[in-house]
Amino acid sequence: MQFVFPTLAWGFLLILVPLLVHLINLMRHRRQSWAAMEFLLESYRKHKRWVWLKQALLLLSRMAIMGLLVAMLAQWISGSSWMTLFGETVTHHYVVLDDSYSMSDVVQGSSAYQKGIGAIGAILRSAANQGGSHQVTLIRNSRAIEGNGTKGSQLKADVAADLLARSLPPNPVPLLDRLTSSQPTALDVGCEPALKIVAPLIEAASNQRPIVYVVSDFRRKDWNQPEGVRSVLEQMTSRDTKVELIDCIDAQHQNLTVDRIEPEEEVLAVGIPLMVKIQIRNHGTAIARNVQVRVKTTEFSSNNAIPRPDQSNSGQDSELQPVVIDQIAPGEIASRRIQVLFSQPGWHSVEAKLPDDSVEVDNHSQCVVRIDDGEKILLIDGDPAKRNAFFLDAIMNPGSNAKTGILTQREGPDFLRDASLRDLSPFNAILLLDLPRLDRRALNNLTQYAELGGGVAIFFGDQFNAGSIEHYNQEWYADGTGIMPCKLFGISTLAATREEGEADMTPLQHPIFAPLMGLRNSPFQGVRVSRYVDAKTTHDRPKREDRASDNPLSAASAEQNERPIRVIAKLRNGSPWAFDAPFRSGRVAVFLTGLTPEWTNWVQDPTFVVTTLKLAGFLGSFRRKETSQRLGDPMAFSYASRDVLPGFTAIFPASKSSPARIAIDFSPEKDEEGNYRGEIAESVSDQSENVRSAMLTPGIIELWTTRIQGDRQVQSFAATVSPNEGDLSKVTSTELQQALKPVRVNYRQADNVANSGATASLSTRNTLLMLLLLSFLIFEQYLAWSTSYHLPRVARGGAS
Amino acid sequence: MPGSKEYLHPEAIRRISRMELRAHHIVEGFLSGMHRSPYFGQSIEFVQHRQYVPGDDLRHIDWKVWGRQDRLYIKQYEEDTNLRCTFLVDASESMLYGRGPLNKFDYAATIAACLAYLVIRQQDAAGLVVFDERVRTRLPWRSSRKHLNAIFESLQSIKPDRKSDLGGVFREVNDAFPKRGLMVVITDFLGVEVSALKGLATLRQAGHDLLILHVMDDDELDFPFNDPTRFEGMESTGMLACNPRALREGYLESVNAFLERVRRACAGMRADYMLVRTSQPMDAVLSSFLANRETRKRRG
Repeated sequence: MQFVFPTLAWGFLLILVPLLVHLINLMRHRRQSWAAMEFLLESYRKHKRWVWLKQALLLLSRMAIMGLLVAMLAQWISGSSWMTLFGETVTHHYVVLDDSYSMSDVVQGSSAYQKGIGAIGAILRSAANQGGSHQVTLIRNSRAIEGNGTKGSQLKADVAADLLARSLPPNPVPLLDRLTSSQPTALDVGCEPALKIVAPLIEAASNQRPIVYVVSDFRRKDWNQPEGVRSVLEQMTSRDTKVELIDCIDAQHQNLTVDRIEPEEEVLAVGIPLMVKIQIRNHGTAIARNVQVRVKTTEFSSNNAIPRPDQSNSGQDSELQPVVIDQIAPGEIASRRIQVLFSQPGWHSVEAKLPDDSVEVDNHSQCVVRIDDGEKILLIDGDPAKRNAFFLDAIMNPGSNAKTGILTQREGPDFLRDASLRDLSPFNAILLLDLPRLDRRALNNLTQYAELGGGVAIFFGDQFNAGSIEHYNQEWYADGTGIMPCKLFGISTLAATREEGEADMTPLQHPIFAPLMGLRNSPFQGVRVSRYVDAKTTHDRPKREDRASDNPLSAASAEQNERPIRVIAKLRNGSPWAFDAPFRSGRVAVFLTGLTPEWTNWVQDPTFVVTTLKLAGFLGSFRRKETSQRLGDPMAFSYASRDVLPGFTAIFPASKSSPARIAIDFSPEKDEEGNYRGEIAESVSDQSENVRSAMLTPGIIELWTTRIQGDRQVQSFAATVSPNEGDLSKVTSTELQQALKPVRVNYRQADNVANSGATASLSTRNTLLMLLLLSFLIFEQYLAWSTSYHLPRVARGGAS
Repeated sequence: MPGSKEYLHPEAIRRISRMELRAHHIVEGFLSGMHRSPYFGQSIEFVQHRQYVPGDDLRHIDWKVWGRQDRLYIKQYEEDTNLRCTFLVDASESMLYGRGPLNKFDYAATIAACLAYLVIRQQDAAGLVVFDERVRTRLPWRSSRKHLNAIFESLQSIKPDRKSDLGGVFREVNDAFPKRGLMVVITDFLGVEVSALKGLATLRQAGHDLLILHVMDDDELDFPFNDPTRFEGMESTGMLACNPRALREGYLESVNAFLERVRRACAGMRADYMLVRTSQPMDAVLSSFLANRETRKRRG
């Protein structure tokens, strides 16, 4: 038995007062001589038992009245067994709080998240005032993501819940202290994971009365596919669960989001201008005009760098000319390309920042570009004279002051055969030029290279003949499992007759042609094609069921056959002239032509220069380490143990809750290959609120290591937010209720909840006690009356 | 004359300690409030004339005087002494109870004194028996003033402290007063209900007229006690500690049943019965007595 005011529980001693009064009255009997004793004794004899019983009941009822009075004053909170006797059960309030970054939407100086916390406080205060026994479980959406990864429903809740089945005190505000100091995360996460944690808890507590509160901003993007949430809620409501939707925001507000910032697929090298694409999305309902995007680069020194956790970053900031966008229509994306230049190798960052609006988190975003001294390209030329490689080398290494950032290496097919995978790994791309056939070992090396993310381009040439076609189909294509995306059928000649103004070759939309596209006159008009290798990229491929019937290969090989092939250039007769296709983690681009004049004059055309340089950047981009990732995803890293000492330090961006940057030391284990491999992941269970908050703050994460030589080096990573969360369009209450049918939900605005909490109704418990007290008072009065404690109005003369 | 009535209230009576004065005071006060003289009877010996007042019997008007003087006068004669009245006053311990101005015995003694005064004043003979479990005082019938004083002294000197036994006493009285007369019994009947009624029946069978004045205190009839009380019986009838409110209803039922039994018994033996509260003024008792006497005279 618990009491809100335990001190007042001493008042239960007052129960003894009626007993004491009774005893005292027994002792202080008035003496009275009496003549008509026979009638008194007769009355006593007649009513002795009944009088005694009534006296006892009267005494007990008076004691009960005192007890009930004290219970009311001390605010009795009974245990479940007691409440069951009175027909009541524990009310369990399950609160699911949306802490995605759209909840930082500010209205009148208060964020939706703060309103949500206020509404939760009001709900809990109201529950505490209502009386009865209450428990509260509170889970934030962001914490439920990790919680779902652990085993067992209770364990999940243990890990994820801020409050788990906590008894509600009379003043529930201190329960929310931790929550009040928190901020919405920068994550994009819905309420489904949290509800999935709550569902088994409701299932397990069958003797409780559950109420589920979903405290959110109810954005349309989260409710386009409500099947998951509806399914969980249906499961809950089958247990008589009441579902309350608390909306923390009243309307959609204007919001601009940095939708994307990323380097184009180009050569990333010191001193080479780099184009960075910035996309701004207007998530508002009105046209955004004169949007100024501030751009900042941060250059991290690759040698002798010093970590500076006390500053906003450890690099050198440079503010670029801001980009001004005239207008962005609602729902539209505006793209701009900016040019940046880095003067030293390293993991540098580029940041785009928008002016402040209702949601701040998505107003800035960063990307990290790894700049090297140059990108290595391996040219394997089948021509003993290396004529093909000459053309490319001339473009990639023009000499003099012209810099492309590409470092080429010309080799023969033997190099591929003799090289190990480790020898090939420094190369960003391998260009195969006029190889009639390739040794199986060399082909294996090449395949492995491409599988691990390497980019391979294939050009044919004069040495390519009918025998080569068969070799390619058998060894390179290998029924769709090889590096060659499709079969070859022979060498064809393009008819010389063409209509006026008709180009032999037409490029399609592709990054390598991007700079040359969209012009009024096609720059490819001058390209002439004489011969080409005939390849069928789609219609010659066997159907899936046919393959399944005649080729008992594994499902993996069948899947491989489904590789999407993208034609990037076509001849005027409709035949593909160039295409590219993914291959595992890598990329394969095939040009169905040679580089000599017998095939085409493209090599002599200026477009070839542009296309080749873009091709080098494009192919090299697939093996670049990932430097940007979504916030909340684990960030993997690896270092060769021969290069760095064990023990790393990660410095996370400053957050609102932790203005100083937090540095955390890691000691990753060494794997079988002698590399240090690790993963930085926010963890609900292992980290403090501050550390977790820092890990969930978008920005640049610096990973500091110490090289064998003793100097420090830094790799930086960009943790970015999901731009979709910036979409603030809302669903209406009607749409919500429609989407969740047949689940019955009660929709309320957070402001209304907060107001209703102040005018809480009379408590059920106190009402119950009051009713009991009144019953006992009436019973006591009846007993007192029936035992003639109340004298009749006409007290005298009745017997005359 | 409401002023004269005030002298008949127990509060006023209590202030007069001497029984003689008390009787005189009450009776004269009572008589002065009447419109006509109640106690002058018909006799051959003329006493006086007095002016007619409305209410006087027209048979007593002296028409000769009216013929001479044109005024109405009443002829008054000295009445015959033909009433022998005995007052039986209960002086048992239970008669001592009373929380008002007068306890039951005081009240009973005062009534007896007043009635004796009234009787002797109209030349009738009055006798007195004061008793508890036996006869404590017995005075024969006399009609002299001196005898009245003896009655007053006897009533004033008695101290009730014993049980009562009305059955035995009434038989003894029957033997002591063989001539028929009016027996005025003033008692509370407590503890002796059956024997008392038997004794009364004996007196009635002997030819006596009976006037029963049943004296009860207000407390005994209303039982107004509230606080826990230990009741101690006055005639060694036991003791009871109780909450009186719890027993009140049952007690009143018993008392009312007791009164009803006594009333029925008196009616059965054709005795006049009157329940007298000690808080009541005395005039009701006196009126009742006079009405009784008138009835007797008419019966002749």
